[in-house]
Amino acid sequence: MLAERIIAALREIVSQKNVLSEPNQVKAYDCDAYVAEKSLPSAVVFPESTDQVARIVKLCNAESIPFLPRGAGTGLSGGATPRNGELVISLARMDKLLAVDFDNQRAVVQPGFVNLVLTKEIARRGFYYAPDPSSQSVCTIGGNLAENAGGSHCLKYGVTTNHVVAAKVVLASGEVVDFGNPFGDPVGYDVLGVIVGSEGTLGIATEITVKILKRPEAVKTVLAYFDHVDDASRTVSDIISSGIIPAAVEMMDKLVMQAVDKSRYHVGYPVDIEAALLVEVDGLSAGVEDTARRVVGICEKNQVRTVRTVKDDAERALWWSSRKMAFPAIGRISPDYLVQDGVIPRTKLTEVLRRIAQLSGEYGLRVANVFHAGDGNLHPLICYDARISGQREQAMKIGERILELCVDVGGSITGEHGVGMEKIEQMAYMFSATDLEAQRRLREVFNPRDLCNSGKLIPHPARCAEFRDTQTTAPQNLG
Amino acid sequence: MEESFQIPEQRIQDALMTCAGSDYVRVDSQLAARISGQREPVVSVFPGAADEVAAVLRLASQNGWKVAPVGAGTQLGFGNIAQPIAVAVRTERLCQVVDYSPADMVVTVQSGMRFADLQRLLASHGQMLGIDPVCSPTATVGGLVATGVSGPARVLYGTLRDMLIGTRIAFADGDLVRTGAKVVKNVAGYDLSKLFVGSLGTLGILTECTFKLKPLPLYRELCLLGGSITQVDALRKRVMDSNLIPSSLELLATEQAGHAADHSSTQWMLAVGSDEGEQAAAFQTRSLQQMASVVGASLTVLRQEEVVQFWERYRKTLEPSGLVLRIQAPPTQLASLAEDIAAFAAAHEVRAFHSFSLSSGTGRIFAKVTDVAAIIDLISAVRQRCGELAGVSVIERAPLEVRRHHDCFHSSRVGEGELAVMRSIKQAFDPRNLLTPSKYAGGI
Repeated sequence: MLAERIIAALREIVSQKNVLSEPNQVKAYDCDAYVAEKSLPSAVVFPESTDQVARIVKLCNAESIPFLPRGAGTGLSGGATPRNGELVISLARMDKLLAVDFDNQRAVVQPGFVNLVLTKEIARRGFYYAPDPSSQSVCTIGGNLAENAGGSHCLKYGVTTNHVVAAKVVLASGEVVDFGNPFGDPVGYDVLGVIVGSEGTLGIATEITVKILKRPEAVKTVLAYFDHVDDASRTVSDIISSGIIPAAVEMMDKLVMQAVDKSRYHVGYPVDIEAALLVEVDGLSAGVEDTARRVVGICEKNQVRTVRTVKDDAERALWWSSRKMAFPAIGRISPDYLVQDGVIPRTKLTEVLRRIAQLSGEYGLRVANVFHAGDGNLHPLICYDARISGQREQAMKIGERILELCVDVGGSITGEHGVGMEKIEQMAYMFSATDLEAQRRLREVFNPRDLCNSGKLIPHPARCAEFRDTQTTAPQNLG
Repeated sequence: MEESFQIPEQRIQDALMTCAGSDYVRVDSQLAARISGQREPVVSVFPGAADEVAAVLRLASQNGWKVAPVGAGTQLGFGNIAQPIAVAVRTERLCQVVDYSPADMVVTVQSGMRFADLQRLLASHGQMLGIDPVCSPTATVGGLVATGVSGPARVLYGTLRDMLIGTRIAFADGDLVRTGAKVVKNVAGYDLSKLFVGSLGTLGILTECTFKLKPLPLYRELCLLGGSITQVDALRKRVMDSNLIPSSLELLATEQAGHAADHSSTQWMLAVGSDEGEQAAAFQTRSLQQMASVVGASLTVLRQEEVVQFWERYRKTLEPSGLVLRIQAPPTQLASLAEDIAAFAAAHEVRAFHSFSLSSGTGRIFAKVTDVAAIIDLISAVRQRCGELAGVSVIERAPLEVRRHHDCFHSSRVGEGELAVMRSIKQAFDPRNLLTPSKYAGGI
C-alpha cells in the first residue's frame, strides 16, 4: 500500500478518478494473461498524456516507489505482473490514433491504442498494420512494443521491431526522449531497437510511430490434414526450402483441433488426423494462384490425407478464428493450462514434437500443440488442473523441460511472449553469465535504480534464491 | 634491446604477438593515415579466432591502447576523425562459415568473411542475404554490419537491422558475448544485436554474425521509367498507392545508370523491380506501362540476367565515389530534395549521382571528389535544405579534409536526450573509451 500522501500526489497529477488504490479495486491488476503467479499492485494509475506519465515516474523516483507499465494485460509471461507490489501505470486511457500519413505510410499512436483498431482505421485506404498477435483485437501497440510481439504473419512481414520506427519514451528517470527516425536508418546507436522488446524495463513509450503497409492484392489459404505429424513437419520444411515465402504457416495437433471444434469456431476437423496445416500465401493476384498450387503439390508429395484451398472469405475467417482462438479453446478440455513459446530451427520440428510427446507421457499431463510452424515458434499448451495438488508445479516443470529442449537443439526460450517472470530462470540456461552481464549493463544505463519493472527479463546476478522465495510466497495472493 | 629504447609501436607489437603469433602482427603506417589521419603508425594484429580478439582487447584495455576494428578497410572514410589509434584489429583471418543450415535459412559466419563470398555460397543453395549495397568486392560482412549500409533492395527486403539476428562480440574489456540467437524469431533478453548495426566498431568487435536469409528470386524483371522529376514523382506516388510489390523503387539520374536511354529527353529515371515470379512481374510491368502512359514517361523493361547486370553496373559505377552522403526524409519530399541537390551540385560544379530508395525515405548522393572546398559547400547546402524538411544527412564516405569540417552525423531529429543515452551506452560497454574514440555521433 502507498502512503495517503503519495495517493494524493498521484490524484493531483491524473485527477481523482484515474487512481485506484483499494485492494478490491486493484485486484484485477495482480497479473497479466500469465496467471500462474500473482501479486497485488500498490495502486493503479491511469495517465492520459506523456506529461502525466513523466510526472508519475518522477514521483516514483523521488519516493523510491517501484513501478511498471501495463497495456491491455494480455501478455503471456508475467511482464505486467507487479511481483514487487509495483505501482501499475496503465496506458489504457492513452488510446488515441494521433496521426496517419498514408502518402508516406506511417501512423502515430498512443501506447494504449489497440492493434486491430489501427488496421480497421486505415483499411478504407487499403492499408493495414502487419504484426498480428492472436490477441490483436484487444492488445495494445504499446504492449506490442514492450514485448516485440509477433503473430501468425510475421514469417513474411516481420515482428513489431521491424515495424516501429520511432517512439517518444518516458525513461525510468522520468525524462522524456524521442528515439528513432520515421524514415531511413538510425543516426547513432539504434537505441529504439533495444527498447522494443525490453518488456517495460527500460521506460514507457507514450507515442509510437509505425509503418503501415498496403494490403496484398490477393490472399490464398490452404488447409491440409495429415495422418502423421512427421508428414506435416516435412511439408513445412519443404515449402520453406522451395523458395516460397508464405505469409503464414500454422500447425495444430489433434488435441487442439478437438478443443477448437468444441468452440464457436467449428471447422469440423476429422477426428483421426494427427495434424492440420494452415498455409497462407499472398501477393499479386497474378502470382498467388500459382504459388498456392505449388503449396498443394508439396502437401501431396508428403502423404497429405486431404488438402484444399479456401472457398471464400467467410471460410478463411473461420479457419483463422479457429487458429487464433486455440488458446482460450483449450479451456474447454482442461481447467487450466500453461503455454510456452520456445523457438527451434525449423528442421528440428519432427524431433522436438516427438520429445514433447514423451515428456507429456512422462509427467502424465496432456500437451496440446498449436504453433507458427513456418518460423519454428512452438506453442505447447500444457494442460493441468490447479485444484489437484502438485499439478501446477508439474506443469511448470514440463514447461521448463521443453524450453531447455528448445535451447538444446539450438533455439530460443521465447519467440514472442517474452521472458517476463515466467522464463527468467531459463535465461541462464540460454545465455552464459557473461552474456547476461552485458544485458545487465544495458539495463543499468536506463534503469540504474531498478525501480522500473524490476526482476523481469533478465535475472539479477545473485537473486535466484530470492526469486524462488517470491514464487513460493506468491500463492498467498492467488485468488 | 632494452625495453626503454623501444619505440611505442614496437612494444605494442611484441605484446600483441603473445595474442596472435608473430606472423600476424605488423606495424602499419599507411593504414594509420586512413583510419584517423594520424602520423603515428598503428600496429595491425590479425587474430585467427574470437578468443584471440578478446585477448587483444584485454591487453589493450590493460595498457590503455586505443583500438580500431578493421575489416577490408574499404569504408574507413565513414565517421568523424577518430583519436589516434594504437592497434588495428584486422578481421580478415576470421573468414569461416560457422554454421549454415540452408533448410533453416539461417547462416552464421565470422565477421571477416567477404560479403561477396557469402553471397556466392548462399546463391549455390538458392538463397541470399537481402542487401545490395554499393561496396567494394572485398568488403567484409562485419564491416557492412558496422557501417549499416543498404541499397535499392531495402524497399522490399529491409535493412541489416532486420536480418542480423545474433552476434558474437568482443567487448573492450575482453569479454566475449553472444547476443540474440540462431533462430529466426527470438525475444529472449534485450535485442543487443541491434546496437552493433551501424555502430562503426565503437561498442565492441564483431567476431560472428548470424543472419536470416531469403530465397534468391527465381525471376527478376526491372522497369526503367524515364521522365522529368515531376513525372517520376507522380509515378512514385502511383506505385506506393498501388498493390504492386516493387523490389526496388530507385530514383536515379539517367546518366549514372550507364543505360542507353535517350539522354536528351530523360533526365531522371525510376527503377522499379519485381522479384515476385514471372506472372506477377508481367502484371507489374503492365501496370507500370499504364502509369507511364498516363504521366507521359518512357519505359524500358529488363529481364533476368539484364537486371543483374544493370545493378552490377550501377554498383561498379558508384563504388569509387569519394563522397557518399546519405539523406533521409519523407518519401513525398525526396524527389524535390533530389532536384534541389542536383541544382546545388551543378552550382558547385560537382558531378553528383543520385540514388534514392523512395518508399524507404532514404537516398544517397555519390560524387567524385576533385575540389574539396566545393564538396564542403555542397554538404552545407544539402544540410540546410534537409534541416528545413526535418531530415537527416549522414556522411558515409568523405576525405579527411571534408570530415574535419563537417560532423558526419547530422540530424534534426536526434536531440540531446537521445545522445545522452547513446553516450551512457558507450560508457557502459567501453568505459575506458578505447574503441575508435570520437569517430561516432555525438562525439562518441
